[in-house]
Amino acid sequence: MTRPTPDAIRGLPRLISILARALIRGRDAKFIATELDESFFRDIERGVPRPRAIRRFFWNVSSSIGSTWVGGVQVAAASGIGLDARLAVRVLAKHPTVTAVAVVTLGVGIPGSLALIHGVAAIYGDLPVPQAERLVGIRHFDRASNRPQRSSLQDLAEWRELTSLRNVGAARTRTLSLGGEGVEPRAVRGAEVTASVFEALRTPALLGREIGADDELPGAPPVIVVGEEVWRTHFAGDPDVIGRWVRIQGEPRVVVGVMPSGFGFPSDNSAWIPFRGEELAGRSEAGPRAFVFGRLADGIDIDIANAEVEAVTSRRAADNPARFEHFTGQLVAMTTLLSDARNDRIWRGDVLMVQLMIFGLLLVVCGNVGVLVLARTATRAREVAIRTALGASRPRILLQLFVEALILVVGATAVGLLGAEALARRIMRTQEAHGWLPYWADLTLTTRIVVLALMVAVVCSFLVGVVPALSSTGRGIRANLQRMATGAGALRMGWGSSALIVAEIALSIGFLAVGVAQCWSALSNAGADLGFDPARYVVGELALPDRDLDLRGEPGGRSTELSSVHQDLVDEISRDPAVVGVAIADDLPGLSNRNRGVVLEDAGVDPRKVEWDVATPRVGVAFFSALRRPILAGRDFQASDVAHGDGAFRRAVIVNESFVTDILGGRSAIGRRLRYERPREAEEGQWYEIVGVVGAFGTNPLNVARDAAVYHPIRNGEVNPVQFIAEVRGDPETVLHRLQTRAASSSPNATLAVGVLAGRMRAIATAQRAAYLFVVGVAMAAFLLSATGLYALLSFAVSRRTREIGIRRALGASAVAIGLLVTRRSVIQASVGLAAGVAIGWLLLDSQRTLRETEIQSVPLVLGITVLVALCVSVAACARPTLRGLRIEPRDALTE
Amino acid sequence: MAASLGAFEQLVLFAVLRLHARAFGVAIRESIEERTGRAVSIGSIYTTLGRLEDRDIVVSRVEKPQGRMGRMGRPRKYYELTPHGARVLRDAYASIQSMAGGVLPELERLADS
Repeated sequence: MTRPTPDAIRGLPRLISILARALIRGRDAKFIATELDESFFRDIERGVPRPRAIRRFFWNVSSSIGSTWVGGVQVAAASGIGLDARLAVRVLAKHPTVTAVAVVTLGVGIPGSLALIHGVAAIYGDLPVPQAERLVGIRHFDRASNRPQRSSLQDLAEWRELTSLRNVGAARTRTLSLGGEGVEPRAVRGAEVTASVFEALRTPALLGREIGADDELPGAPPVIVVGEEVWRTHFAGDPDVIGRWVRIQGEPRVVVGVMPSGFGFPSDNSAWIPFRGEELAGRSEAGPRAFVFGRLADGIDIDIANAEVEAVTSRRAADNPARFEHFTGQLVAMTTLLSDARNDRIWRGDVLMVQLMIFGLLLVVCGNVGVLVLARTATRAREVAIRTALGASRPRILLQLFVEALILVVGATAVGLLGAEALARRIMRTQEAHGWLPYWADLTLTTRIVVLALMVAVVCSFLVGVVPALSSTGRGIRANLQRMATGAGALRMGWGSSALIVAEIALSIGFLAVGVAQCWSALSNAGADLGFDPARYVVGELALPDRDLDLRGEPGGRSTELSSVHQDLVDEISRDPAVVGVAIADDLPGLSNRNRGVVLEDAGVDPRKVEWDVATPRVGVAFFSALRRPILAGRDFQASDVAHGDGAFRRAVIVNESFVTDILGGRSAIGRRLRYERPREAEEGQWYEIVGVVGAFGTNPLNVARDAAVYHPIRNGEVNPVQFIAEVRGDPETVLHRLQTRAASSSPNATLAVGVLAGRMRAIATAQRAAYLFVVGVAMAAFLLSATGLYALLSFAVSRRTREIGIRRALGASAVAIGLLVTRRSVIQASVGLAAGVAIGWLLLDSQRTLRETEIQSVPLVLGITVLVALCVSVAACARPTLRGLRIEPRDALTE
Repeated sequence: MAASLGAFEQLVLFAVLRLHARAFGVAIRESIEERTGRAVSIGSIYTTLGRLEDRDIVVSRVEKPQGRMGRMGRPRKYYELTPHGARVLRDAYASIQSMAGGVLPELERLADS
């Protein structure tokens, strides 16, 4: 086969060189393009192998294009970047309104667009321990359910055999009831851990020692290590704390160490006790779930370790296919293991999707600011054209406009970052009190996020400055000068920007309506009478670990065991002299309640669905009598109401006063029947019968106007975890710790969380207020964004039609006519946006009518208020540019 | 103070000097590649020469090619050092020599260690 001669393949390099000529810039472009293909042919003549010559040719082409552009920018920059910067500052100062709007919009938009990335990075970052990147979590992943699994101590025993990991250990959180002589009693968020936790995390104790391997041995003295915060608050910072005895769940333990502040492994914990030796030795699959983790052995990378974990899982799947068939072994970052459990797994795909949406919003922000800049550039079309005529190249003009945009955007980003840092510090202070972030998450700004923000700022500068500038400088000097000669602007506004503004207004009004409705509902609910005083109640949750209920082989054993635990709990708390009454339930008054749709049987008409859902708490038979809630009609629950076994249908229910007034319209409830819209298996085809009516008892603290509830009776032992509520005399805070100790002593192995009801309700109300403020904030931000768009559009219109306005004024046009001329397009856009927004708002509000939490009292009124707010903002946005248009003097406009 | 020259600028100027009056893009590229083994693009050579011409270090002329050298019949841009350019290059090279004087054995020793 004959190899093609250089002449035979000459055409292609020459063609590529000709094409490349279009991309090569600078005065020597034609020489460079000519010599690109010549270099190739000379390579062939010199005997360079053809594949290498081809590679060299393409590298030469791309590198030449790049170097001529870089060289051009360098020359342009060297010849006047300082001048550009000074000019940019003067231009920004000359248009203070545009500058202020852009700074606020971009200052919020750019840091805001990175908030999610920053938050996720903080949550999934490294633990604050030495060589944190070598720490890994070990878990199974169920391919069938597509979810990670919590691990058992049997898993721990298997994984301790892994050779690629060291310090393999486990931890699980437990509420520890701390008490004892000279110790302020309190529930602390504790953890049961293996000794290897401290070896793996390489964090030494502040005082004393960490938990050691000997502490895990059966029969070893019971020990506890406490955190610095617990040491300071409960032991008053006693320097001789080591060796002191305390009581945990009523059992004595000796304090052997104090861990430094900032150590909260695994999940904001402040006290640690060792796993019981018999548990670790038991290898029970039914035991407690725990986080299992380890440290990569020296010289082992995660892929090798992962392969070993997968091999172990495969072996176990072969031995026990029923359990492990769909499982795969997985090594994940330590914080991923802990955060997934905490957040019920944050899906990276979801985060990515939300982040893309946020970046989309940022694009809208940039679009609006870009329109503003375009409007300002339009007023400078003459300057641009004259500079071009005097010899300024297009890159030179673009560079100048880019520098202007860069100063604006980077300045706005810097302001925004300062604000973000202040906000982050405030959040971190709040976080210390509430602990809604993992203990290792630090939201204060990092170098990485600052660099990222600046990179985004540079990209935004292109969008804000260069893209509009391309359209304002790309039509050629002659065309621009000709347009100016006839009085027209050099720029045109497309339909795309109009559609953007209309969509922004419509969506923001829709969400604003929801925000207004929620705020209205929250305000009308503030201080409303819940029918009881939450400050007189102590509430708690008691959860028994599965292992203590593991009574296989005994029919009903689980329920019997739980029943006695619940009875012990009630009896123990009742013994306290401050307690007036105590009862159990699965949902508590004043806290969130499960909602269900109800179908009511009404005499003479078909069963009808009640418009909104009702609360359906399950309460102990003695709930109302113990808590002294009066039965207003009918009767209280009786033991016979719960005579059937677990899961059986029980007919009797009690409704509250709201149910009678709001749903039944004040008619008698006794004997009336109801069922649920979506019945459960045991309820299928069954009707409940109302046997009594009870007074208001705060079943919907978020909205007292929708307080209707249907109470169902339960026996002791039917639910786990169970909630308890105790009415107390005097200050509940003083009784709290005593009740906690009593509750803990009734079941030492239970997980316990006790608090004053009023405090819990305040936390829920705070969260609700934060959610409402967030909705309103986002809606207002979106609306201000659309107002920015309107402002930009009008500015653009006025700047483009200055000469026309002048001529019309000279010909005697009235101010009204000029105003209409200027605002026509914006008014149309605002009107279309408002109409679409009202429709969206109506749909959103209507879909919320059945919600219990938010009361939509009047959709037209809410929408009316929203539209009024929107109109005020729109008028404010339009006022300045319109007034500018009206102030144009014919003489000035015609001499421009 | 003498005008400074970057390393790549010095390479290009020595190539121009070496090629006498026949220094154009392709020839300069080949000269640098043969002697230094460093791959350079035509674009970077012309960008550098354009910058040096603005500083009056080189001067260019455009000629129609003749004979086999002008196989494509397209004009070429040839470069020569100006006297000022020659002084700048000499000073730059002297600076390097001055800095390197007496330490080359040490450099060799470190490089071989």
